[in-house]
Amino acid sequence: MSRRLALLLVCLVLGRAAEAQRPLADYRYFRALSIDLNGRPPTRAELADLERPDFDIAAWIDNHLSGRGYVERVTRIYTDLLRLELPDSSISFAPRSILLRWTSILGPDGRPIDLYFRNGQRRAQPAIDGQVCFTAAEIGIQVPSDGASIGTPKAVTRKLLEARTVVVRPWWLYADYARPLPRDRASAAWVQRFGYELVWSMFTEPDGRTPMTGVRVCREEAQTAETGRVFATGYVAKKADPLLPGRLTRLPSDTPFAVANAGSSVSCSLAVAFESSHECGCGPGLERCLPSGPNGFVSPWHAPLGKDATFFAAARPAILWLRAWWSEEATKFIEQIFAGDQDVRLLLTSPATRVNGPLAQFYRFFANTTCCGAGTELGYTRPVPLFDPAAVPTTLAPFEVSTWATVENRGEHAAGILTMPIFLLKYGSQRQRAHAIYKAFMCREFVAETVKLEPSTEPDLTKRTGCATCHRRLEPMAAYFARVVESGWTYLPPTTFPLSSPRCTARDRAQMSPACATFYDPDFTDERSTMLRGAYGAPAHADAGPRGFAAEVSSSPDFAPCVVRNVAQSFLGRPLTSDDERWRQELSRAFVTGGYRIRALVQAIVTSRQYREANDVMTEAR
Amino acid sequence: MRRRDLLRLFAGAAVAPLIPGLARATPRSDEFFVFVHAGGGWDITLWADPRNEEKGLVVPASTRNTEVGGIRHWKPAGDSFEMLTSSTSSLRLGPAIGGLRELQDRLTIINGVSMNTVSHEDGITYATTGRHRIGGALAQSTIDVITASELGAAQLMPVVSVKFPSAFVGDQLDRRVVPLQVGSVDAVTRSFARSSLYFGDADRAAITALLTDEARSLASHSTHPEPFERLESQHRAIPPLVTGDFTRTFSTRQLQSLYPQFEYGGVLGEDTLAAAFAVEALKRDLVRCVGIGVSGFDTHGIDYRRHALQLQALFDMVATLVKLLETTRHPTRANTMLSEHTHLVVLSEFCRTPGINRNGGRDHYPNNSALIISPRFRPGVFGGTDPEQLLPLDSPLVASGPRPITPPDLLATLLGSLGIEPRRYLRDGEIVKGLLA
Amino acid sequence: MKGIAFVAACVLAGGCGPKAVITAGPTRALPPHREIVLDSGPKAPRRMVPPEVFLRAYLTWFGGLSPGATLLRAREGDLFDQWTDYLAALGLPDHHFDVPRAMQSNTVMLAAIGRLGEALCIRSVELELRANTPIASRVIFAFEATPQPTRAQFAAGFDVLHRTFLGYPAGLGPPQRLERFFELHQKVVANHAAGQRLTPDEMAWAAVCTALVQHPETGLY
Repeated sequence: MSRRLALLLVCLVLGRAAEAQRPLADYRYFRALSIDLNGRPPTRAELADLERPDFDIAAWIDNHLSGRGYVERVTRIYTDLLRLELPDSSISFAPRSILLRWTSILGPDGRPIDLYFRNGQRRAQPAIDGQVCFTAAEIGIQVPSDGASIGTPKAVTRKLLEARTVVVRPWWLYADYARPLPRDRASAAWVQRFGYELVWSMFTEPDGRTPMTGVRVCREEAQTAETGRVFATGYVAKKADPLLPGRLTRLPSDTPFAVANAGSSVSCSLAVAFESSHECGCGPGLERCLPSGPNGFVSPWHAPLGKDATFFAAARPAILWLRAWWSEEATKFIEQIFAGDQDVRLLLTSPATRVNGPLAQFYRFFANTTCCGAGTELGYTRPVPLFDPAAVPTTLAPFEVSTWATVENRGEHAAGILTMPIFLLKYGSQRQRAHAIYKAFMCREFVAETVKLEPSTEPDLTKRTGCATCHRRLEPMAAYFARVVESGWTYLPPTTFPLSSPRCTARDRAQMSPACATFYDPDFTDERSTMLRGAYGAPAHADAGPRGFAAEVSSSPDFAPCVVRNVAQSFLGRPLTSDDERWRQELSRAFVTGGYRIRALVQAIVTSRQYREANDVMTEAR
Repeated sequence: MRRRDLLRLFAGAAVAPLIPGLARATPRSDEFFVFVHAGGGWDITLWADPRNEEKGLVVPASTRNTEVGGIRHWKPAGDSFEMLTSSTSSLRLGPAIGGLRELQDRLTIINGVSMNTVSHEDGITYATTGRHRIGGALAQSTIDVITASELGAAQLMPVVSVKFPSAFVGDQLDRRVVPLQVGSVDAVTRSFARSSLYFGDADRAAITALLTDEARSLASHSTHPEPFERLESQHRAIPPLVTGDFTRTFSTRQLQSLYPQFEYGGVLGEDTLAAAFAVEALKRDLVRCVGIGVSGFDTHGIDYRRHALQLQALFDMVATLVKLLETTRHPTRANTMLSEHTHLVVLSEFCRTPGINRNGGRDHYPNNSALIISPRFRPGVFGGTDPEQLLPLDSPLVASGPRPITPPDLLATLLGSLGIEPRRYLRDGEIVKGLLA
Repeated sequence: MKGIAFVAACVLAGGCGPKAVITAGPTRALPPHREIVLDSGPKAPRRMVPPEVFLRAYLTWFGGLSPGATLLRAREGDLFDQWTDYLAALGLPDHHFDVPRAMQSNTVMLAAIGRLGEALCIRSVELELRANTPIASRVIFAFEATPQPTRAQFAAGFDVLHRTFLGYPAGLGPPQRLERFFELHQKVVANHAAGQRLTPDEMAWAAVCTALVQHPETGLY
């Protein structure tokens, strides 16, 4: 290039630069800050602010470190690490006691009526006990526990219809459902009012046109009492027992709980109440139940900018609509910690959480109905919950989707995200749960050495050749979740499930009862002792529970460097290298002395040379 | 041509062989690839390494833990099933083999693949790259990307991954092969749709020319030109896909009508459409490697009851794909069918435990099987597991043994079968000659 | 021999003659050859703008509409389908199925951005230029869009668009950039006749806008 041309070029460059008030590097830095702290590139107005002589970049950064964009940015780091969402096809949560099925019967005028009922509902009349509230002779059809009805419907008499059923104005259609005569019916306006949306065309009478104003349910299901009496019929089913005429299933059998507590009062919130009382229904407005249809509950599916700006929503069954909020609970919880610049260890240790209307309903009425399965045979009938229903705000209605409240203390067993349903289901096994946190919060991974796995009968994986390299570390961590059932959130309290239960000792596996084998590990069972499943790696950890795991991880020397690494790498957009080691250590020290708060860490990162001055500029073309 | 450009051209030509990653003339290949990932970890005792009796840790699939209605090849033997045998070989298969039963003479099944991991992420990475994760990150690109870089970088779309876990790592490979990763075939076609009411082809060509010029210019002034170079080649690839009949041909409706043989409304749902896409894309010589991801195999609980049905659906899809390739002409080789030059690899991240857990399901297990359908591989069953614990056995086919076959061996063997030196891309693994035809 | 004698003579002449005098004079700055910007900043490749950021920016460019309202506005004229058609292509993770976030661009991603860019720019031209919305209320084309602009007139409008999409004044960009975009503008004008949905100038500005939405510096930072 000739010298004259070079001079001209320089003048051109310098001259241009003089027109703008800032050098290009400043615009690039401001754009990066805006993307990272404001969630979008700067607008022209914001660029004009930057160009003002009195523009204070430090103040801009400070201001935006308490803004929505920053919170979303940092939350995204952890939602990407934890991936707390579930596909529809994952294990379904649908206990019989909360699910209102529906079937179509013919009314007295010969027109179809949708009838809601619960599979397994106890009824005083043996002919209909445990099934829909009409016999086949009365309505012409038999209704199996799943699948389509069998037979040809015939019109039910008015007398029977009124005796056996009642029309209820349910929570999913009425804001004032708890009142004697609800009037505040759901409409399109509820989207703005509550953030709640139904596919209205699906909520019609069987004619497909008339808007549904109430649902007809069997009377037992419509009961609102909070307690009921346990009743025992005296019948214990045997395999060879014939079916009663007109029934598809045997009569419900008296459970050990029913036999032991016949006549006594039981809370209708318990699963045992559903199994042994015909006085426990779905509560006022059916608030203790979810309809299995219509599948018209609109829930957000793609909401990368938050549920307030949903890109795609789909109509789902109520049970899946409810599940969408489990993910949102975790997201809101994480957001609250970053928005309040709280100690990041609270992600694991905090007893608090955030709930909206559907979540409040879930925790008050549904969560504990999974208890107690085979545990009832070991005397576990009253759940010890991870989230105490009494802590749930009672003012939140199930359809109040967009109202969020903080629950300060879920109960003595709560531990951050570790005891949230979405985490416990996403990472269903004890080992998965431990591994997920090990990776996300200690930045460690289990990488197997290239060893050969020899066949072995050693049940203790911390000792088995080839397995021990990873399981020596993994089993003790997994043991912290030994008291939370796998793929669920039922807690197994030490009083009912001691580490070694005398009632479950056995000479060998074949001698263990199914209930014992469910909760105690046959591989660690003999005549003298048993071991709670998953606890062998570190029995003391089982009693410490998820809270103990939270304490261990958050006090680990790996915790702070891992947080620093994850946040720094996210903001820099590249892995940290050995060149960054000194800087990373400085950040870690400052992070710890600053009380494990992310805001100061992010501030240090975005004002650092590594972030501010990073560029790919080359002075001459290659 | 300006002097500066001429100089740049010569300089580029001179340095191209010395600097990896720079675009260079790529030898065209006529081989195609389909990689299928069964996500979640599959139960090999239902097909590749069948077990029908309790022995040691093994609790076989039976009517007590499996929904057998609908499993076409389930012939009861007590509670469990009868093995499927072949009159022409010692092959034994399980009942979930589905449509591949008819193609059993073309199957290369490798049992006893040692995984050394039961983590989903690490298993997927190990199976598709041949190396475990390091600090949670991938150390190597996946096999589909490597193959495309070697044999198909000049393709319009070298790698299309519909839920397949493709990854492009490092700067060794040709940047044109960064995989197109989408969740559905529609995401590919709709992105290339354009309105005909406003911009015309000439407008879009001008925009593309500008963007490629800008990218090239920015690359030439960057210490790290890779992002810009990638963008330049990607922008170049778009116009033929926008202006042709690509979006119409690859729409859901069109694919379903072209290939009604697939079960679109079945167990695998819309995942099957990716298989139809693969056939049409290979037929039109648009794509070198198609990756298909199918999920639903991580059955820890009562959902295990439907595992066999899920496997059957997967193998039905694969069988239909293979049969279509047998009747579809190769796009560039005369008198040849696609099946003679297409290599299909079906894998998962690990297998499931030989025993049933207390929730009625099976958990993760550090053993695996792999399925290859390729004219360059010998049909048959290779490798094995011990009878009581389903753990990998040492294989006599491994020259550097005694040890079991591992995923890097399989990937190295695939590359070796194509005449590619594996060590250029894989740190580990050897070509297992006994697997090759 | 002759040469040596000649040299010796010169030396002697020099040595015996009067001493050369070097007079001091005013100093002046040496003219520069070339200026090189030296920066000691750490060198790092540019990274992809997260798809969430792109989507938020996109909604902002569309006037701060919700995703649903944006879809309705964009759809006419076959410019847009459904959001679900593009979200995965843009590289968003899907944690339902453990699909990770895309960390690199690919052809489908760029094609999706191209589709979205055309929708944004055509609609903005219709709503701002064609409808002659007051400049102060315009989101994208906040300048006087003179028909058949001169280079200087084009540069003024281009600067507005450059700031909007790339985040810095056009004058600080590479010198060829303005020329390239002006040439694009002129080409598109030439490609279109009057009497169509949009005037040739409007189409040209839409093309400039579309190119900037897809520009490497828009998608990287």
